[in-house]
Amino acid sequence: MRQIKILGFGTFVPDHTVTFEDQTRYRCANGETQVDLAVYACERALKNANLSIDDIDLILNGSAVPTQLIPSTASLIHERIAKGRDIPAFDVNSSCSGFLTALDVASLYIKEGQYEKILIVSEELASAGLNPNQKESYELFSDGAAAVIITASEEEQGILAVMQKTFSEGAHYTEIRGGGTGYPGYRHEAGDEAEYLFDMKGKQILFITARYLPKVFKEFYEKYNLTIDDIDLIVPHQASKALSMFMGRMGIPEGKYVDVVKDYGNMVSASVPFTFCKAIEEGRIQKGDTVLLCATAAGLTVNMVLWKL
Amino acid sequence: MYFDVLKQILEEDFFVADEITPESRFIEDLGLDSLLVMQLLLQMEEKYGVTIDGEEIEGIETIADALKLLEEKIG
Repeated sequence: MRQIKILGFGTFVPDHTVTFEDQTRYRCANGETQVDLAVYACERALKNANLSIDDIDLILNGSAVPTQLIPSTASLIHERIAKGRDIPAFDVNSSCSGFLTALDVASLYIKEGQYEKILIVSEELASAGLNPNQKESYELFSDGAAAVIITASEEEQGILAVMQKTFSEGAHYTEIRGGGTGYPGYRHEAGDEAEYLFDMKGKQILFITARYLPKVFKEFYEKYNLTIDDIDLIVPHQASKALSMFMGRMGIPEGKYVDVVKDYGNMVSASVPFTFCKAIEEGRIQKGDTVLLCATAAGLTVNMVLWKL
Repeated sequence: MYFDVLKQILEEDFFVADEITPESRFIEDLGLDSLLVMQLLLQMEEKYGVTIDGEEIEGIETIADALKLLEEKIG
C-alpha cells in the first residue's frame, strides 16, 4: 500500500448552465479561462486543508487539453498561485484519466519521500473545443475543475492497487487534431475549423470500450485478488449516458457507483476528481471506505486506482 | 447459416422474443440498446475468430447489415 491521505479538496463549476432535455451542463460564459477554473479549485482545496500555497511542494496538473502548447498548463497555474516560490509544477496527461495518472505518480513520490504535500488539479474548459455540428459531443460536456491535496499517512490508508492500459486501435476515435505539429495553427484555413474542434466517434468508442473494459476489470480483480464486495463505491469517469448501461452489463449494481452524467455531464479529466470530491462532501464516501476510481479516456486508455480513504 | 446462428444467439442469450428476419432492426424492432448491439458483435467475433474494426460497425442497423459484415470477414 502507498500510504497517503487527503488534506483537503476543492471543486469549481461556472455559474452558467445550459440544458439539453433533462441534462444540465456547466459552460463558462463570462470569459473565465481554463487557468481560472484551476485556480478557483486550488484555492478552495487549500482553504479546505487550512494550508497556504507555501505548504505545498509539488503541483501536478492532470488535465487533458492544455491552455497553450508551451509551457505546461501547470506552469500557468503556478504563475497564478505560486509565482516566485520554489514549487515545481508539471502536467501529467492521460486525457480523461489524467487525474488518476497524476494520483498514481503523486502517491509514488510521497511513498519515496521526494515530496511531502502534493496539490493535484484537473480542470477543463471543454466548451472551448466543442463542435456544434456534432450533437452527441456538443450536448455532453461541461466545464469544471477539482483539486486534491495529498500527503503521507501513518494509518493503514492509501493506494491499494493501480492499473492503466492503452488500446491504441482507438487512438483516432477521440481527437482534437489541430494545434499540434500535425495540424499547426499557422496552417489553419477557412473551412478546416473541425480539425481544431473536439471530434468523437461515439459508436466506435462504445464498441471498443465494450470489448476491453470488462476484460480490464476482470484482470484488475484477478491481479489484486478482489471482488466487487471489497469495494464500497466506484467513482467512474462520467463518460456518457451509456455509463449506467456499462455498469449494469458488468454486474455492478446501482448504488455501488456514482452517476452524475445527468446533472454535470462529462468534464473530461475533471470528471473523476469532481465526482469523487462531491461524493465525499455528500457523505457517500467516509473515512475507511475503499473507493475504486476508474476512467476510460482517449487513446483508448483504461485507468483504475483503488484507494482506501 | 450465419442468419440461423445470429437468430439463435439473439433468442437464447439476448432473450429476443420478437420475430427475427434479415430486415429486423436491432434497436427499433428487436429492442436491443446500442451497447447490446456491440456485445452481440463482440460475441460473433469470438465465435468465428474474426476481428471487427471500429470503423466497420458504422451503419450496422439490421440483421442483414451484420450478416454482410460477417460474410465479408469470414469469406
